[in-house]
Amino acid sequence: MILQRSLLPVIFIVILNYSDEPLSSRNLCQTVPHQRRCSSRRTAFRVRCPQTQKSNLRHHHDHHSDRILLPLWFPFLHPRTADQCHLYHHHHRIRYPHSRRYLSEYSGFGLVFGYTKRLAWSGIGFNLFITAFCLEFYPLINDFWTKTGIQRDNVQLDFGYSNRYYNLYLSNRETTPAGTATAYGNCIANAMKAALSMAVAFSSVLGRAGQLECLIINIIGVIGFELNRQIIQERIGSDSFGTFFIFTYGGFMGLVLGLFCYFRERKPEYTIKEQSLRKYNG
Amino acid sequence: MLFSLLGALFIFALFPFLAYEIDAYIFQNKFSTYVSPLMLILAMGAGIIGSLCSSLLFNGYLIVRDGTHGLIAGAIAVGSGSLYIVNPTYALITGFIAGVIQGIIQNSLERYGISRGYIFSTVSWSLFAIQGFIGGCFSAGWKRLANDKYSYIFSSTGSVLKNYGEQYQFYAMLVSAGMGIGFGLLAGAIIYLTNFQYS
Repeated sequence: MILQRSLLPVIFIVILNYSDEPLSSRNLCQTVPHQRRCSSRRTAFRVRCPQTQKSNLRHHHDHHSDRILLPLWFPFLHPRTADQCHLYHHHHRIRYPHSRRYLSEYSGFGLVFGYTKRLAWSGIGFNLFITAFCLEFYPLINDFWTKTGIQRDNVQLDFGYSNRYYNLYLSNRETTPAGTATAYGNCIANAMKAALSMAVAFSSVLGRAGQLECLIINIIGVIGFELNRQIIQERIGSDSFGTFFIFTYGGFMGLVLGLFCYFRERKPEYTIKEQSLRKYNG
Repeated sequence: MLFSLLGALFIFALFPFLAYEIDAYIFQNKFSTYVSPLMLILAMGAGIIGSLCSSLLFNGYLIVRDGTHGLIAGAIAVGSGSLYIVNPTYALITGFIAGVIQGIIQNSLERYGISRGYIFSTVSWSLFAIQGFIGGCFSAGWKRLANDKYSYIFSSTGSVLKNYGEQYQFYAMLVSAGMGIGFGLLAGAIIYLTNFQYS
């Protein structure tokens, strides 16, 4: 029992540390054992140093399969300089300070941006979480902004059996009766669009933010999404594909969120005032 | 990476459904229900080619990430103006330019920041934010062209061309960008005050 308790965390930590290594030729060369370096897959990472003209992988075999797979593995190669190549050959075990962010760089947006093994399922999981949250949260926000009169129509102020807030339909068709919620965009299709927009916004911090940040982004983001959608579609013009109210909104929101996460990571030492605020915020 | 290729395949197959918009624009003209998805498919293909071209120019080899992102870039850039595109060449031009710009940004600006540790976005910020800006500019141009030369093919009852001028496409882009930045500041300020979550 004692052995299990002592060994299991060690094994777990070792596995986690290994999985945190980025899939770059630099770390493969430094940390992967000899036998693993000789595998045919690793030969795809062979790059010559501009100064020493040495290969970054000392042991490699040429297989025909490598030549086929070569273009597929190139995304894992990161920009390198001559100094970095110099470090490889001297086997300095220097861990790149932003290695985890390198992994995160290729992650997000479900499958498409699940570019690394470590974050592939994380991207899908967060996307599902965002979708579930938006499906439940969007109708409430839609009702709220509808009652503000943005959509240029008389708004019923009560909730009841006969008014528009009773039914939720799959899509917002023009043939729906004027007294139903779908005539005002309160439908599942728009909820899914809100989820897509939030997934776009969260993808910029995927791998650097957790469930709490996801929840905050969803709550505030859906409010802004619906306000933006109603203003654009009812007051300004048309956006047939959702380029503006889904992707542009989510993209700029994600850009600002990423900047805030960057500032948070860059400031590990907190002031007394910030510490007190952090206590209340989680 | 295989997941991302699989996801790109899904997006290529399913993204055009977003442009159907049977909700609001089905009565604009006779062909709006199927022309917009078709333009999107063309633009996605052109976006892949454009981004891979810039990837080859910058790196000397192909990066799959540029291809998958170029696909989405082409779709986003064309999507907002897909109702007003009456010639498939317009969609190809827009998608190709969006893909090239996406490849240039990813291989120059983002790589410059990554090499110096200035990573503030794990997924390309240019893919959605900048491509939205490009989509606003192009859709304004295509709408102007449709208003000037091809207005007769749009239904007289449709409000897409009649009620709003081409400048409103640009306004919509600016409003979305402002909203995104504003609500991003609000959410980001709260996130900044939270601690890291360890599990």
